[in-house]
Amino acid sequence: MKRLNSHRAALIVTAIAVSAAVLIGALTAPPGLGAADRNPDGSYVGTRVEGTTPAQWRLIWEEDPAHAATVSWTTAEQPKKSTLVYDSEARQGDVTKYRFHADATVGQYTDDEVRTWYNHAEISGLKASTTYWFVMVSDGAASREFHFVTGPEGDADFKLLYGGDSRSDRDARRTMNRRMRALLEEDPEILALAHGGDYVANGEEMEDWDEWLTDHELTVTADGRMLPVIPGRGNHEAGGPLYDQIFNTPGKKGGNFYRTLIGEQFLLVTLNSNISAGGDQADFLETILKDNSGVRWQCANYHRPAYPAVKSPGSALEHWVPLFEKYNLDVAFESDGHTLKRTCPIRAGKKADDGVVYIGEGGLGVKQRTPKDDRWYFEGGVTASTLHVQKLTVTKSMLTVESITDAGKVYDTFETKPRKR
Amino acid sequence: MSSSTDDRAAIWTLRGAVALTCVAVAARMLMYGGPVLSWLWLNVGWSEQAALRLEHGAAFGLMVCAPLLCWRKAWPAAALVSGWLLFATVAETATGTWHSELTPGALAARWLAPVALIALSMNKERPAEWLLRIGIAGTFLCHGLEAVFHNPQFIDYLIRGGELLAGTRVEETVATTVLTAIGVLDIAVALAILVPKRLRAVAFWMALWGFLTAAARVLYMGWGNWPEALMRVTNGAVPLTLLLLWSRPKPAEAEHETPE
Ligand SMILES: [Fe+2]
Repeated sequence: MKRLNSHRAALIVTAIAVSAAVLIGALTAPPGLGAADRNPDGSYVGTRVEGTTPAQWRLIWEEDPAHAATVSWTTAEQPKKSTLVYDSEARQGDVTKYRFHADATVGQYTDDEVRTWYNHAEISGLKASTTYWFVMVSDGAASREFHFVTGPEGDADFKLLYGGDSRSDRDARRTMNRRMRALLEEDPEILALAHGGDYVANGEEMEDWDEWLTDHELTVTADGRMLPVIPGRGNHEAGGPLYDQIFNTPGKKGGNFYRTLIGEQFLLVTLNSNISAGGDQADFLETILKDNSGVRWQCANYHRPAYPAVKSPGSALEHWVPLFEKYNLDVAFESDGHTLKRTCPIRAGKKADDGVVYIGEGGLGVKQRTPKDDRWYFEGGVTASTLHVQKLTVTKSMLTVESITDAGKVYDTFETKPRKR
Repeated sequence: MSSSTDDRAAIWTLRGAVALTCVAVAARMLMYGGPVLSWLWLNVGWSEQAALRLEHGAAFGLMVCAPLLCWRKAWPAAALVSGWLLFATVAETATGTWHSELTPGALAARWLAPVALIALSMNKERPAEWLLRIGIAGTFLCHGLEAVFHNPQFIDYLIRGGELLAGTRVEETVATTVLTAIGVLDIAVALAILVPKRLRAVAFWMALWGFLTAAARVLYMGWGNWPEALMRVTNGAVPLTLLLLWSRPKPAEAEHETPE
């Protein structure tokens, strides 16, 4: 009886102590911001994927955007022949009039349920800073006429978008795609979007990609200008073959890291934070930064942050940051955290005027988290819980990074001058 | 050594490990947010505030449970800890992206340790022993599989380890080959610990490797990463508890034991 009572007493004491602690913890939790703004217009259905009609188009840039690109699209059925017809003059969609054509590689996306087909037309030998007009044709079914502008040669001024994490909230993703289209429409100097990864919630499910690809059509301007994507790989598409099937294997298969030179004075190194950071990729990064030390502007794009606004740091901190600092990188673009951030300049784990700045964290279509703004590296930096995209303005004397919200407001502006290397 | 001393050492080892796990898991939730927050907010549709409140409540609850675990009769505290750790494991499985199907097994030592502690507190040594065996077998088996599948994080640990400990640059191909060997060894010891014999050498190796790989998190990213290391303390403490329990022969079982 006495034994039973002492057990009962233990039970009561435990229950009271734990309940009190849980209650105190819950009541002292910092305020969250709840769900991000939702776009009331969910009516967009995109181009129907049926027969061999080209749909879900995207344009991919990799190493040499002045002279090469891949135009990709989806068909519901396997086409016998898929071709991209293109020209440096508009031909109003008359497929017989385009001077150039490239046959597309066709294959089936790896998925049990969505049995659609990818078509990749690789084009090269393009002229720099030139508008190319094109039509996708699969077994006679043709798309409308689109166009895009190739990258520049020489020491050129231009603009670029950066953003990541377009997964999990379709309304927000559509809002941000419409925002990017509006930016492109009002500012034709924008050339492309560098994507920081986490396009979809489950990158091994074509159903998720199906929605992303359809929503991506919303980035095309009213007059048919397509926004090229420079893709980076996120943890939500870390596994499986679909990422390479969607983006035509940017970088090497199994690696997906590569360098893009836009003009002769802007280097973008796209890294993959889902594979070993310290092995071959660190060697690659060092070689690229060393070989391009004469390039004025140098940026990196990878998914998991070294200086996160919410979560814990990834391997980039140990393996890439020392190289960024050694070679004086200008800006490292990071995603994954679902919040907006810009750090102070950082060198050797401390705030330093000649340090590297880390910008991004992913706001292209996912609910935004509350950032942990009390971390030391945000002193003199910026954090916010808002959907966003970054706009880079590259000139000879200044690199400007503006963080633009879903409402089109410039929330933060960062400027840096060319640095000695 | 008397049997009661060994028993005491075993139970205090396990208590200490579970208490440290509580502190580390709580700290990690408060510092970075845990998998439950991500899962409830992004997958289930809770508001961020509600999910944050739940995690903060759980963090405070875990910190109160830690000292309570030292009290033999306060087994409900151990049950609550196990319940939360299992819930967090489920959430991590749902939100994880790299071979997340291995997560429940990989974290088995963590969420089964408090259950084994309850059994030990109630003097049910045999079930406790098997809970400990199953827990650590799951952890080693699933980490072994992750190693065989070349978890990129493990490759980076080996490369960084080479730089820090030997001052040499380990090539990725070499690190990958070593990782495969480590994975095979992990799987072998995971199976061996389930053999119904007291294989002390196996338990000793698992304890050593479990502590070493937990400590690697601090070696890799510095002391600021202490919750990551401490969260894995059961990976060494569970086999150490087995070793302590097996340090005295049981009359009935001693006859069947093979000498080492
Ligand atoms: Fe991510």
